[in-house]
Amino acid sequence: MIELRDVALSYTKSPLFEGVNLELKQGEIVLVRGRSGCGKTSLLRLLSCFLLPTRGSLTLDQRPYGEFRYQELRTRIVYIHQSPVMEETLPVLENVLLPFSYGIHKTRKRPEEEEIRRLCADFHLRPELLGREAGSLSVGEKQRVALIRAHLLQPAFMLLDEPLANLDGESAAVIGAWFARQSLASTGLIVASHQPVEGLSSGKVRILEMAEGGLRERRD
Amino acid sequence: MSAVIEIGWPQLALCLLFILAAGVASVALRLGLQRDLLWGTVRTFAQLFMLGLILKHVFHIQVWWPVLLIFWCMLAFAVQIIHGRVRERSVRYLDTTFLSMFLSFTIITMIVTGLIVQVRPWYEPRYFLPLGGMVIGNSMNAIAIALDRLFGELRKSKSLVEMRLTLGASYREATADITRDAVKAGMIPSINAMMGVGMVFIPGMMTGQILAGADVVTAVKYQVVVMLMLVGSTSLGSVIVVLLSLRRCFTRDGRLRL
Repeated sequence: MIELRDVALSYTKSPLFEGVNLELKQGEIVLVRGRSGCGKTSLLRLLSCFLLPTRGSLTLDQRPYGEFRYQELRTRIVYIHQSPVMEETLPVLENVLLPFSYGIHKTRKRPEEEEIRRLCADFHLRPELLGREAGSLSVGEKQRVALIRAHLLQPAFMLLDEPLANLDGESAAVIGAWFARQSLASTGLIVASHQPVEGLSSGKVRILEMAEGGLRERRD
Repeated sequence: MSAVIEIGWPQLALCLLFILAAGVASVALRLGLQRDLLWGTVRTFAQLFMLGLILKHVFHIQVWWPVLLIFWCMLAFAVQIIHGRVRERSVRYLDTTFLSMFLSFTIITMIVTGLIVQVRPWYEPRYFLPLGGMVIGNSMNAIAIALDRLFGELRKSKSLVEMRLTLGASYREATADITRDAVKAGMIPSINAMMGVGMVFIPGMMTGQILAGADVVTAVKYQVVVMLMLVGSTSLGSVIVVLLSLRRCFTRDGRLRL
């Protein structure tokens, strides 16, 4: 569980948001809504420790963020950029397995290619794609590869920043369908978006509205 | 081998004809360089004679610590010059730069005087300061290039570095390729210099020794020592400065400072 206590963030004198108290549970699907520029990306960057709050505290499973090694924290809370970033010159398969070359994941079992192929099928990616250079993929394909890559790390939370922005219709539909299939599994999904997200409209989704420097729970 | 030919004062004054020629060109073509020419000439005379005066005294020093002190003062000036050249203001790198130059350049110069040229004692200022000066003067470019590349690439690849960090990479893992590029950029000029040396012109130090009447083979040996020593000092310096400064680009909780 991630807990935010009285969190404020300011870049200038007037805070972007303040007094944010929030509990995010593993297995929850949370949609953070709000117009662009209201601080959704900053909130996700706070959660993944790419920003420090001006005031307040963040904890993961009751432990303050500062007590974790940053590699461990980021492995448990994986952040996915709005425009997916890849190692452009490496094949897609190596991009998917990239995290497993890092020291923190050395003790983990590398996923079988079988499992990766199955995930590709889930995301409507042809298996031949795995051998292609990542730079040759479309934005939509890259976004799906980024999701597969994060999913293989089995994080406690996945933070998605505008996952459907700039995507072609097919990719948006595929990712939307994947969202819809996510039941209360072990990974918590936190999605920031300024537009309605396909697959995230049913009753199981918790909606947070971000406006006027604060965060409000909304049930609809 | 003949002894070096002394330049008389009238002959030295004759050199001013070169300046006069440049001055005439400046006036005729309205280049507006007269003032700079005059000031430059005065400074050349003043600075070099001042240096000569200092060296004359310094070369009599027979204790090791004043020699090293002078060497480290030269180092501090070099750090200032690097600071002016590297345009990065959000990371503190002056102390890491000084430390890496201090370590690598002192060690290299000591090895050259004590072990290779076998000067007795190793700090003999006639050898230590000119050789050390060459190490500093040539290697500070390498340090500046390496730092500039490191900071520049980190800024350019910020989202790539962050992506690696989001997947659990340590700051070293997230910047392995950038670090390698920066060290390489610092090392390459001194390696390239080994390729071209002696093909286009006779290197300055060798020219000096030959004019001073030294045996040509001896002059060649000294020049070889200098070339190899510079590869050593630029490599060691680039590696240490990049590794130390890289740490400074990240916070303890793995955020990029740039």
